[in-house]
Amino acid sequence: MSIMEYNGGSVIAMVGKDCVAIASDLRLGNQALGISSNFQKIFPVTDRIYLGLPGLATDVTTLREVFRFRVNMYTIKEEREIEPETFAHLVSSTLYERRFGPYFIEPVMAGLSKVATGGFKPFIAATDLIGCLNFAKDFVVAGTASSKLYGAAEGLWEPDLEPEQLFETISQTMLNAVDRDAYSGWGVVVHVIEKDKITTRTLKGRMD
Amino acid sequence: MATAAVYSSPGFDFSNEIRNNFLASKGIPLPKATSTGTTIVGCIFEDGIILGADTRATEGPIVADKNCEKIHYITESIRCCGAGTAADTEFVTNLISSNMEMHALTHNRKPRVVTAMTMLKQYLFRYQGHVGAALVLGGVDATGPNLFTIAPHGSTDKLPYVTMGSGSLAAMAVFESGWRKGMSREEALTLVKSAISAGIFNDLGSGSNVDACIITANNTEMLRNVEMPNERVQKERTYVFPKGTTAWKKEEVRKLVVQEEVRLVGEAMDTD
Amino acid sequence: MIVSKIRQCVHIAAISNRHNNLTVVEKLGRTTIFSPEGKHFEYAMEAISHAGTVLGVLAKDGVVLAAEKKVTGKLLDLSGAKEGGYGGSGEKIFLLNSNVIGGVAGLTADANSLINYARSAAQQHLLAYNEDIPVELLAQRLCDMKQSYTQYGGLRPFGASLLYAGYDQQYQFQLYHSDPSGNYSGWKATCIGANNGTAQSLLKQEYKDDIEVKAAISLVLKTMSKTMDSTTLGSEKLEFAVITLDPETKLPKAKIYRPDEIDELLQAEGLGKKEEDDAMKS
Repeated sequence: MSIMEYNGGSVIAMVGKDCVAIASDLRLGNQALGISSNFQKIFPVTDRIYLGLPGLATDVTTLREVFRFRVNMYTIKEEREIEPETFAHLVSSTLYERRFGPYFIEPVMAGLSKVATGGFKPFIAATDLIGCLNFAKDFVVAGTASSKLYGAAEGLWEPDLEPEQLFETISQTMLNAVDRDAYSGWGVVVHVIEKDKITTRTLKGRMD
Repeated sequence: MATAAVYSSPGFDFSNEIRNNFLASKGIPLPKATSTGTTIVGCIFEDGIILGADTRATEGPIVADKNCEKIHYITESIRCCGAGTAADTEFVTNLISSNMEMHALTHNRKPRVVTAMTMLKQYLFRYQGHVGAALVLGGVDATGPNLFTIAPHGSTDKLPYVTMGSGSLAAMAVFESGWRKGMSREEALTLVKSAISAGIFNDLGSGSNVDACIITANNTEMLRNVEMPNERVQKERTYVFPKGTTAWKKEEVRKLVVQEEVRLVGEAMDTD
Repeated sequence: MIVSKIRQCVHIAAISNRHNNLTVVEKLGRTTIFSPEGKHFEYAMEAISHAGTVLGVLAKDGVVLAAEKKVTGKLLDLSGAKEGGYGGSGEKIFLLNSNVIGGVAGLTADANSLINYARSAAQQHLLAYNEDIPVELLAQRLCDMKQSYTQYGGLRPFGASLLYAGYDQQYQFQLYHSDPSGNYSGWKATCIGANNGTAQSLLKQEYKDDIEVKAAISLVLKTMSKTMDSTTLGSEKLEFAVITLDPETKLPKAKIYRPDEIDELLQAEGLGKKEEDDAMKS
């Protein structure tokens, strides 16, 4: 059994029209035994960047704290908030540092990046456990249910979804994919990030 | 331990080696990293070099990225295609690109392909193949067009046409039948496109689109997605769900400050 | 006067690895010997006594820091300082962590190195303990580092003094001062840099134990106007910061004032420039 399946969990991020959404399940297990149905895997990095960390739970906590350290230093020195693209490369380098002893996490990022004209552009990215970046235009997935998420997202996603529609699409993708994966589930949380607000909803799903 | 780890010096950190080897011996192997299954090629033509690559990145049997970029920048007139472990090809080409810039500035000369080749092979040999990067390096410098292939363990070959990656056999079959010395730009580009296409259609590890890069003495032209033979057809219907489909238990809305406007008011400053 | 020569300590490697600021190691390790006059600190203190004044006052609901800028002029590009929600890049006052503000006096380059170290130390504490570093602990970290430069390595001491204004749950609002020797102490009100003697005596007379932040701000600005070199106070010569507690979240709020906010404050206190003095606006 793979170390990535030890605790279980999955994350997905999708692009919409002037918005992005990121969702994760809430399960924390010890192999087959479920332990918590309230385990947070998505963390705000700045007001407009959210980071999802599926994989080994201890590394979830460690990486969250390591990125908090590095982003704090960036903010304090640069005297401004880090942009999503820059943060993605920070994640990539942090993971590649451990090339021969990696963190068992496959991070997923979602955010809004500033455009020169003053508006915001949707941004998503994911990396593998050693930092290979993937800047997709549509969606990115990671975790034990990733293969099911790929299939569901490929079928349900379409471009230019409004925030409310994007919420429905990402929720249905997530709910149905994790229902087919034993190691993910026990609740789903969805964040929809728009330029002026972030809506966080905890979904009603199967708890088996 | 945590204090030293976070703001550490550049380079690799091997502190998890012992733990990982122990886990592997207990039957828990390292997870699969993203691999560029890949077909990458390079060939020399009358005016310079053409490099070609597919755009599929795999994670085991799953396609992780349908349109990744495998032709990496080394210098203005030197590019490098990468096959193998995607993170390794990305970081090793970035590192050598940076060192090449430094080298060119220090020695006040236009960079040469052999320099990049030597830097790459010495780096890869040092890591005994653990940095899984198989590269096709090509460019035009003061000595003319040069094309090399570099294997993960650090061996190199200098050839007029090369292929690497899981689709290399398919691509090489096309090259062996079609390559001639002194081809024109159009002929060479057609040959490269069909070599990559052979890999895309016949090799499971390669797919999606064809990228090409034409390097001549005074110009480098990057042809991203020059051929897209695998575009998805228009979906027959829309799958958008009506609002209210998904039930939720809890909702929380956090408002963000979009823009701050500072208006000066001549009153005592409130520090609360 | 006999000065004994003590061989350099072998801790050079440890220090240079930690800080990466290798200087030419003196052959005889002169910086590491005891000298009755304490020459090295004297020189460092000399440098600091010519630097711009930094004043700090501890109130019961906050701490106030003010500093006189020495690097000024019409040609200075301050466009970066206008925006930036963190108060803009300063020369004297810096955010060290969300709960501590630092004010520096002395060699700017040395000060920048210390600020960097302080910021890393604060984040390392956060990483290890998941809490904001206590103010005194941050001062201690810096002082331990500064002291090692006086005993090992043959490197010269840092030519900068710092004031730390901060808040933690244990001791609420605090104000500390540390000098190049690595010594630190807690203060109710103190001053470093040029004219610090004058300022200190002024503060001694005016300071009241249960002073509130609003009154502390007035006290600081009044004292600054009396000790600063220039005739009038303005945002191009003054840096200002306050740390208070947010009443709702109960978390410390560090505010480094922007130039336009400083001018507003001065107007409110009646210390601002008159209309005719508009020649030097940043």
